[in-house]
Amino acid sequence: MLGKLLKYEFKATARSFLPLYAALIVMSLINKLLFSINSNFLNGAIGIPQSISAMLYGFLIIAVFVLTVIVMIQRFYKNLLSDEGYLMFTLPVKTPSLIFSKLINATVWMLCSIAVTVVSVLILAYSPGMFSDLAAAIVQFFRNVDLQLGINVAAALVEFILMVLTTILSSVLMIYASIALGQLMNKHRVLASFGAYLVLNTVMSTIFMIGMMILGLINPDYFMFHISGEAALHLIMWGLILYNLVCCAAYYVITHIMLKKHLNLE
Amino acid sequence: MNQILQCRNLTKGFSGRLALNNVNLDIERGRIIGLLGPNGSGKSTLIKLVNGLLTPNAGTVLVNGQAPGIESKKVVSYLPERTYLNDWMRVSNLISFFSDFYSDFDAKKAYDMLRRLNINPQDRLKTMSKGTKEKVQLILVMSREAQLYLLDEPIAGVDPAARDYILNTIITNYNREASVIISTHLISDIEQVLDDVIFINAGNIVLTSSVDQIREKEGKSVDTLFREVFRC
Repeated sequence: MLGKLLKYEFKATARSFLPLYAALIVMSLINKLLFSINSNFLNGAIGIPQSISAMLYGFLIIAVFVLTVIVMIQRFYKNLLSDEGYLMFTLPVKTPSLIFSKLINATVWMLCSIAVTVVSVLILAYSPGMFSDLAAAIVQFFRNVDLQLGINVAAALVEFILMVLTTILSSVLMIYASIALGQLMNKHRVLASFGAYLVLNTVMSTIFMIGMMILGLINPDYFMFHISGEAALHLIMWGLILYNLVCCAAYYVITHIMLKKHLNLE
Repeated sequence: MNQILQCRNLTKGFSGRLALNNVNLDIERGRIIGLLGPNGSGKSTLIKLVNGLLTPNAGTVLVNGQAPGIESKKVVSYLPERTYLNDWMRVSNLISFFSDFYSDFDAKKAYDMLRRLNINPQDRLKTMSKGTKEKVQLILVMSREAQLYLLDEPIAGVDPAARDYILNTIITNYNREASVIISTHLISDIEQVLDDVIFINAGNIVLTSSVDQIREKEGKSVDTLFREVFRC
């Protein structure tokens, strides 16, 4: 059933994202075109369309990420906890399928928004031979990091990607948990969701700080002197990934319990 | 054969106020039941509890012998008192949606009923009037081969002609093993289709009876009895 839920989830959201992505790519092409025109053209009057299109391009990038966040919240709140929830919660599907369909959808669009923005920047920066230069620079960078700092770049890259991914997941789940807690109230649900978000944020960062302090108290000397820079990097990265996963699990459990046991549709 | 719906000591409160107070009910199969009561008497709360949209404070609900969950949702067809349809789909999208999720959904039946009520399946819900949306919703709900239909205020928002068609749809479109519970306070309109009635007031069941019994014993219509029981 998760597959079917995802199908409708993407149908419902693609119609907002795809036109905006297309607009961003078209805008970056227009910018590229305008900025490749000699600036003496038309006695410098080309500067006006140039600055307008640059401004529009900037707005579109902001719009893409604002839309990503709004759709993430709206698909959860509107589809599950407003009137549409009467349909979604009477479908013969498990509560985890409902949560995961929203989570996967939101994460995929977040990654797509990042990817489309990167592509649009590459279009703007494009010059003949750019890709081979870029590839050479990246190889050079990795080699230097490896030589100078003795860090295994491949491992660091995998850790970085995992960290970004788990950060996205935990941010999305944190919003879900807050909304799921907010719906417990019979009135002022949106306000209650904001409140829940602040409380969750405070609780989780307090736990994080306490965890760091405990690590420091156990054996600070060991961390200071006995491990290499590379080991420290891996330790920090995996520590953050682990922390993110613990957060994800906590937020997921809260969301699940609220939707399963304490559903309170208006 | 076991009952399709059982409620035992079912209690639900909202912020200190009891919406349902220790309700016990047994619904047999193959009946059309009117759940009748004034506004705020607990009709919708009871129906939501059966659907698992609310969780009881005490007591149990069993549909087909099972607590509300995936198995009960497969056999319950629910029409809420509000519009639960999103506004971006076309009617035909909704029909595929229902076909995808409910194995007992009959798309052909749905298209037939749409044609009878002059609703274009290619129309978007955004462009429809409230009454038309309610008709679409009812068509979707009645196109399932469910065992229990829970219809919360199914005729409140539609014109009398469509009301007749809808009631006709309800009595002709369910199989003899299934039961239909219709919650409403428009009693005279639905009285002729009912087998049984449940009167509910302030969270308490005040009367359960068959319509024939009321007519024989009391010598009056359900509508008249309702007006007497709930006299303000």
